[in-house]
Amino acid sequence: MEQNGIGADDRSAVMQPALKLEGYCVKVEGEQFPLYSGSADYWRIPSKRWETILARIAGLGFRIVSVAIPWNVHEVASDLFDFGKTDKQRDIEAFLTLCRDKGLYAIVRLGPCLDAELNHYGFPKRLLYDPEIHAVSSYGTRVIIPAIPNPFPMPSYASEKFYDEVSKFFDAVCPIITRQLAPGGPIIGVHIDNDLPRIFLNGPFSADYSTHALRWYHEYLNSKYPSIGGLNRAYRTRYSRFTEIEPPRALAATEHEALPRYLDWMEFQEYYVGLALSVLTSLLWSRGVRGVLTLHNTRSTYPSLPLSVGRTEKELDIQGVGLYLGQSQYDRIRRGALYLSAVSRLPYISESGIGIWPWGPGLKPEDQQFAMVVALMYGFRGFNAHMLVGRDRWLGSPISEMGETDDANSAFLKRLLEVLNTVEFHTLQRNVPILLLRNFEYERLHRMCTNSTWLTHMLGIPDDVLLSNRTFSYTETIQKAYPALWDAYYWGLTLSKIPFAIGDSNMDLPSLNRYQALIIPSFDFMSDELQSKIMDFVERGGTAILGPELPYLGTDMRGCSVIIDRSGIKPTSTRRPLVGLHDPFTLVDNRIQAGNRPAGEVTQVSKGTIVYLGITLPPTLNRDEALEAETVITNSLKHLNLSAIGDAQNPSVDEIHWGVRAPTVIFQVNATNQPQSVTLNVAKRLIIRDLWTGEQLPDKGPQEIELQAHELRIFEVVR
Amino acid sequence: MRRLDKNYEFTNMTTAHWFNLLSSLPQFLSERGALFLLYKGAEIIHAYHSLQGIRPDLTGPFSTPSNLVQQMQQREDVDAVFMIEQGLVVYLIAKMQGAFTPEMDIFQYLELAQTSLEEEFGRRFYIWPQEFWNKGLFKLFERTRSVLDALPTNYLCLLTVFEENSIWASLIIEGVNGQIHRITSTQALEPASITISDWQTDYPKLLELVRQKIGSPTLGVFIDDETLRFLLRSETPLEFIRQARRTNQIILDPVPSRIRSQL
Repeated sequence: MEQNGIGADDRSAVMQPALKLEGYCVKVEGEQFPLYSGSADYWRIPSKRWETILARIAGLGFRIVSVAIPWNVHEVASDLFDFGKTDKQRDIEAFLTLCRDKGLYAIVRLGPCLDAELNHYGFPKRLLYDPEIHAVSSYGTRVIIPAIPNPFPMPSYASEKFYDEVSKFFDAVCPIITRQLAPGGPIIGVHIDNDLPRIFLNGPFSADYSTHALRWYHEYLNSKYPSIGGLNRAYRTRYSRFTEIEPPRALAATEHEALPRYLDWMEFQEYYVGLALSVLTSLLWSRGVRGVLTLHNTRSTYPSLPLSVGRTEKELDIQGVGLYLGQSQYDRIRRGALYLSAVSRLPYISESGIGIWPWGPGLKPEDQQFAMVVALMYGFRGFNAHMLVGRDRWLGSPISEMGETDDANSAFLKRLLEVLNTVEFHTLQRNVPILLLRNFEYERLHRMCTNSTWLTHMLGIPDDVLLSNRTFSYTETIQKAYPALWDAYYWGLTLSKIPFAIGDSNMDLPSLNRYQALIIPSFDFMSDELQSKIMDFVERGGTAILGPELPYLGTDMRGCSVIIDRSGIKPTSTRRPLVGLHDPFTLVDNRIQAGNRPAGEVTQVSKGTIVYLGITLPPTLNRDEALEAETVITNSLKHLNLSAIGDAQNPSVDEIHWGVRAPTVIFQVNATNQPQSVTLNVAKRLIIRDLWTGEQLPDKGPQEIELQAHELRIFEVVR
Repeated sequence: MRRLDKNYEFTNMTTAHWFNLLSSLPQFLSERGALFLLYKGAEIIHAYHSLQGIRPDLTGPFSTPSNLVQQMQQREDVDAVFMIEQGLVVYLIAKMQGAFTPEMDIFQYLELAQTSLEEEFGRRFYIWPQEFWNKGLFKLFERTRSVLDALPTNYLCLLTVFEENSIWASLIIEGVNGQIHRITSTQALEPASITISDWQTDYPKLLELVRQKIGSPTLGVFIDDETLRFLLRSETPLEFIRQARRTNQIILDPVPSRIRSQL
């Protein structure tokens, strides 16, 4: 089954004919190229060095520069903007023209929020203390972002006055932007805002309770429920108008009947992020900034709610992520790449850390280089080296603001681009038969049960420690059981070495149909829509692994048993057996047992199969603990005859094959801190070349490869 | 109090030097880890060991919080036990947000967290041993600030840490009108242009470079990496500095009179 640029063709219709998103590439003026870029902050680089620095960027092999254009740098007095008339340093048009002259394209970051270690993240300070603009917490206070050097109140992205102010900046800057749009100009993309969900940094009931946000909340409810009667049925209330409804300010529910109101508040925050991006995009659109890529960034490599990639990519083209991780966080990099590769139109790292801000994680160059290649190995198709050019409040960039290059990082980036271009990495596909699905309905429940804030994160207290223990009268504590089971499947799949990706419940049926099997932990409730989607997937020939419960409630917590009704499966007892040494998993004649206890069944439904697993798996925190989960998965999917990839004898080394019929590029990574020996299983008479060093391997078929701690190798297979 | 200037510059810092410096800071928790207990009413509802992870076996009813933290610290052999009432962190953040004023810098904002927590000592927040609160980063932060407060309003500080005779970490802090205006390092000085064969005798070359490139230093601190680690963990830093100066393990040159008088 092939992964492809999801919806890429649809998006082409939105763009100007001269600029298209084709597969994982931008096509402009007849030329097609992948999104490999580097950041340079023109206003922080002496203007007389711009030309030298752009030449250095092009010299490394980059075709695109990412350029932040901060509002508070250009607003020199209230509503008075300077774009180079009084200070050449602010002459963005001159900088963009130079980009074009050097053969470089540009993605401009217009904010309004940028971060970039700027004071107030790029917002003019005058804006932030206006009571009509700032966001409001559940306690009625402002929502303070603990930024360095000065914390500041976050604006409400639902405030009309906020957008009036943003419009003034856009009015000033957009004439320059439109003059510089491709074709003709260098701009191929516009990056909108930065990490918009940060407004909810203090937890699920922390923001935004401003009157503007409440208006959005009521609009959201009105769009979700066709009538107030529908809402009253879900909430068990008697409201006469949507505007009477107050959002929850803390988790007070103890029974599941009370949960719909809370689940809606969680979903509203996703709606809020999406709507804010939609408004910002339309402000630019109406000022002529159109026909180019639109992007947004979130800082996490593995995005979590309230950011939903599917939802934001309805409002703009690409939802990018940040990558500020190192060797010891291999698994987080991998999860992010496996997830974005399935859900994003173009899996893109908007900020692939090369260097770090002073207060950031202590990552060494080898950490960041490792992270970047692992991210590409698992499915990211574009990246922006951030910060490629050095600046104030940043350490370790490959090119200094004076134009000098740091040999190690520069050489790495240059070689990386050569390797990616040699094999046309952006065109490669890979076989991925299994999708492990994140169920956002349970993740909303999980999120509303957390009590984490930036302060608890600072103290190093994991989110799960502060998770509510309430069962809400379900058969088990779903907010705890769901992530535990999901992790067990994740590690079981990892150990099995069968290729898989990570999806989410927002994916539509055609996207799910790219896979042969879905693994979806299921509990007491699941929306009618999601249950129907799973059954549609199964009935057209797919396999779905479900359990430990089959849902009997919808998200309104009223009876809804689409899966049970359409499959005819009867759930097992709620006393689910724990699969383990004493109660091994067996599958005989479609009956599943744990020890001698019945634990589920395999049921043929139309052309497809449901594997219902009424079991509990032991806690699985890594691949070493995943033996039971791996046994359960491989046995449950035996009928699909799926192939494992890589050396089965060495579970610590991961191997990824790119190429559909046969591998063209093979990645091997040793994610441990010990040397590993692994067999590279290739046929005789194939030429195998190490893409990084150029070394050709002996033509003798399978051979031993020695990998040092955290070493990654990329092989090209030449036929 | 010395604050971070809103237009502060952080520039020309070698990544390795900066992280060497950060890694030498005393850890908030040492080898034995800490226990975090979250309680509601008279029941521990969550327990987390910083080294062992979630500890469900430590949840359950209790009678006296102050006795419990003491017993737990001994029984679990941890550096410290923190016991926090459920909802307190959210309340503290609300309180911090409510008390925030536009001119506050990040240090003042974080101080709000510290003082707000201290107000809850023995009410909704318990810690054992109580002295732990004054250890580690909190104390270091206070000491650093008191050194900066003892300097003139316009100052230039140079800290150079040597590993044998090469620069392992360096920090230059420039203060203007009492505020930290620039943070940089010897990278900004092109130190490769000078040769250091014995740092205890050659350090004036660095001072001269600072003078040429930035200005006259107000305070110069020269130290080797081992001594720095001892200093940062010392319970009596002033006494430690006095002794280390005698053996040239720390060289203070120049040293302003307000600091000299304390030594």
